[in-house]
Amino acid sequence: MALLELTDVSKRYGATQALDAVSCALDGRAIGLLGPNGAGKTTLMKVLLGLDAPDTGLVRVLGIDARQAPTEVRGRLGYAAEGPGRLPGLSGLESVALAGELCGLRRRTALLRAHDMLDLVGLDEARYRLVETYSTGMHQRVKVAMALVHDPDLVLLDEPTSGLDPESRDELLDLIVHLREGGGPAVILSTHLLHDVERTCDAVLIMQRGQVRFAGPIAALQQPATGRWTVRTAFPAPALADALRAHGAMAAPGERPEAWTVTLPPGADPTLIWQAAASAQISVVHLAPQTDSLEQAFLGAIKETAS
Amino acid sequence: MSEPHLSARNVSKLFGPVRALNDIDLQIGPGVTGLLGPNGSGKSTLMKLFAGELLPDEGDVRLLGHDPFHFAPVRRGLGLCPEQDAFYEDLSGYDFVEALTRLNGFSAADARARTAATMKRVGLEIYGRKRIREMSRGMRQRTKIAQAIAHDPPVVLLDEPLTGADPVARADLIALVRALGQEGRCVLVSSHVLHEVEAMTHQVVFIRFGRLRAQGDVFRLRGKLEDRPYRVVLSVSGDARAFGSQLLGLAHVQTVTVLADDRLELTTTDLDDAARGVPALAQAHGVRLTRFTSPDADLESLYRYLVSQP
Amino acid sequence: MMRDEVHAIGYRRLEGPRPVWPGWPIARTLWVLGWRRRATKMSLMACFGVFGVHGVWLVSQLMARRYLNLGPRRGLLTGVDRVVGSVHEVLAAYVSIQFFVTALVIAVVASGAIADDRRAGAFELYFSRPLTRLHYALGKLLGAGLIPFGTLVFPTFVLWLTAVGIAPPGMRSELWWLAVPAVGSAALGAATLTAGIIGLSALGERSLTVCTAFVAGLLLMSGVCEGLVESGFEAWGYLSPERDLRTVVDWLLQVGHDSLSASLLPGRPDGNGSPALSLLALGAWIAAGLLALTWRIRREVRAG
Repeated sequence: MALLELTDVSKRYGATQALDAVSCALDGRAIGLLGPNGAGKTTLMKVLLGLDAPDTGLVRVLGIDARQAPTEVRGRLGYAAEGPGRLPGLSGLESVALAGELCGLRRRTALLRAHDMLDLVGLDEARYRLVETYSTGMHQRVKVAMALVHDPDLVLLDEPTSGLDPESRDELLDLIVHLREGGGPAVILSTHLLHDVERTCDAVLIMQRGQVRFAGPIAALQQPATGRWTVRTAFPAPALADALRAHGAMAAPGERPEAWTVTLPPGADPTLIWQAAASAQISVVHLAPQTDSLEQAFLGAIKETAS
Repeated sequence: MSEPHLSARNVSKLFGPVRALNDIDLQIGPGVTGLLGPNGSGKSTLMKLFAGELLPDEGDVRLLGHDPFHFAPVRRGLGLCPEQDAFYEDLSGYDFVEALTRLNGFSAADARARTAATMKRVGLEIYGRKRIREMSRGMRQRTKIAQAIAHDPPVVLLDEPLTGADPVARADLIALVRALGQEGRCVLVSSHVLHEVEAMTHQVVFIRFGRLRAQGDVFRLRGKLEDRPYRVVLSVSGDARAFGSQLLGLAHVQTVTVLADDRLELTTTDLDDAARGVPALAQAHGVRLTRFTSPDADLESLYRYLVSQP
Repeated sequence: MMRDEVHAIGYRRLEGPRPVWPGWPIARTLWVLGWRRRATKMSLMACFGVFGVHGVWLVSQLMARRYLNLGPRRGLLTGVDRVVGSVHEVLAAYVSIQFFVTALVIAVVASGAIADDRRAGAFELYFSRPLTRLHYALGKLLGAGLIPFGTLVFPTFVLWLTAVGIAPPGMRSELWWLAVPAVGSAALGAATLTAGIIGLSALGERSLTVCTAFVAGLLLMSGVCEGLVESGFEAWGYLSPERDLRTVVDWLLQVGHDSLSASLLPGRPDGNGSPALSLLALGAWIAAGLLALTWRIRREVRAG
């Protein structure tokens, strides 16, 4: 049974075609949902939840038809929406417990489970304070705990790391990995940070202008680029490019100030790069065959069809 | 060195009883500098002090050699992209940038020309005609940056300029920030996304609990963490085990582990030294070195160290 | 025997039944939040005070009848009857006075029921769970409705029960059937208040505004309408929910307000001309409140 199955799903808001004949079947433990602003990611999540009925098409989540049985689907989904929405007047703990009760848990079960989930997302004594007083990071944690409290089979996280500082983001991403590895719910992570997806997800769904550009395992996007090497020096060193050229290789600036993409002449091996670096007295602290990063693959996927 | 673009001498700032900055001593010159730290550590306050929006409780803040709070004209040399999203929502992007550029003392024609050039530079040539209300987050961020650089200031302060931008906008804006630094401007940029800071610059300032925790070059700062040796993973063709025992002879190398027939891991306290010594040793022993990675030599491990240690 | 084991405290699956009706936690949250306000406790004390005064009135009246062994027949106004009034009179006065005090309680507790949810952006959080719009509406109505049930309907029932319990033997059969009109009219008042506050909360923006508007509106409406009726504009009387309720109560309980005690109570002027029209007017208020609630939920939540 696939996690998601969409057949020809369309949704229009006024003049905007938010989803345009989307068809895909996805499986995996953690799926990255990527796309530029206005690509239809949030609309897709709402359609999966049955919060918005598509104009046409068939949506099956966990094998259930989301239009026929929206409450059943929502009972097995967890959703952490983007933005500052909260339940007014409640503490973090009460919010999470209420979220559990709304899914049918008994009061005591919900409270114990809420404590468990808040421990998992790392919200300590602050759980007894009113949500109104929380920082962005605490608020994001509560939202994730609310999405997990009823033990769903699939959680949808909409930009859960936006506004978090590196430590908090790290912890949240570790949590997603923990869910993926530890038999918890499957995760759909919508984000603009491709790095986060690379770190946590095993499949991606790339959308643009309401259409699916790619759906499948991440590995299929990241093919090693033969004959190209990523080289990083300790400090930005323009002299390396000249030295490589003198040895017959090509060097193009990489994605960091101190990184280079090196293309070797046919038949040469990386020894040539080491020699060039040694001759120019530059220390190379990273040398590896280049794999297309998710960023390049993503930009490629949305550019192909943009023109 | 001549007068630094930005300078703070023993600067402290309190908001009521709440400490924002405590005894910051910092000089920043040309090029891109990343401003890092957990939420609430005082990054935005430091930016506002440099922009002359706030007066320090103690110490002395200088922008291009002048006090930005009391000597307003010096602020013309400053471009500020604030974190919050405050616009005149009904103006178009062009009108917004043009109006702010005129406030910096340019004639109408001059401001229009600069706006057109800047909008092109930030990639809003077409979408800049939209009203700001109708713009996506990415376009709004581009507009904010456009108004910060339209008057060609030598100092640019960018507070979380990438928040909410989609991957395409992020890639564009990173390239733009790098270009601004290469033009010799002093660009101070705060961000929570470390690999994006790495893509923009090598030079960082790290603030924690309102105090200056670290400043300088990422690689050299990482090298100072002597209790955290670098891990280096090597792929070789040849006898890995024999080569591994040779590696132990290098200075600063602490351990060597054979991971597989063709893979080795070593720990060293001096990556720079290993980066010169290992290839030389490989060449001397006729071993081909096909991969050399140091996974914990990055800004992320530096950041983790700086927030986890007192 | 202790075994040597290390356990991971990570994510656990959660088995077991999920029996709770989702409207229930919504209702309970409303009370929990209401109870945290000092104003709620103060207004509840006022409710209790009103109940106490009527209780004392009722008990002393029946005791007097019992020990003075006065005849049970109503309509035959003895001297004592003139002073202490009848059970009907007590119940009618209680319902129409407690209506105002309960309005205060329900305004404090439930004014934010919908308005706060909307301001905090909570709709998305609610409706991403297995919860329909009907669950939400019923939960809020239940939460708000149980407040006047507790302060108005149930105490009316208790007063009646007390009356039946201590009335002189001959009078009991007459009091027996009084339960239906007394509790019925109290329930009508409760429904009006519930629908009113929930409807207003669905329209309003802030809980404080809603609370003030509800209480002030109710007082103003009865004041102005009373004045207009006195100046001869009879029809305006139907616009005041309080006057409508009083008309219906008086009609159901069939009392005049002749006794000395009743005349001591603040403002018990006559009701509207037609009880049926008054009932219709109350129904209209209730319908308007429910309509506002429906409109708001349909507007904020597209499906479900």
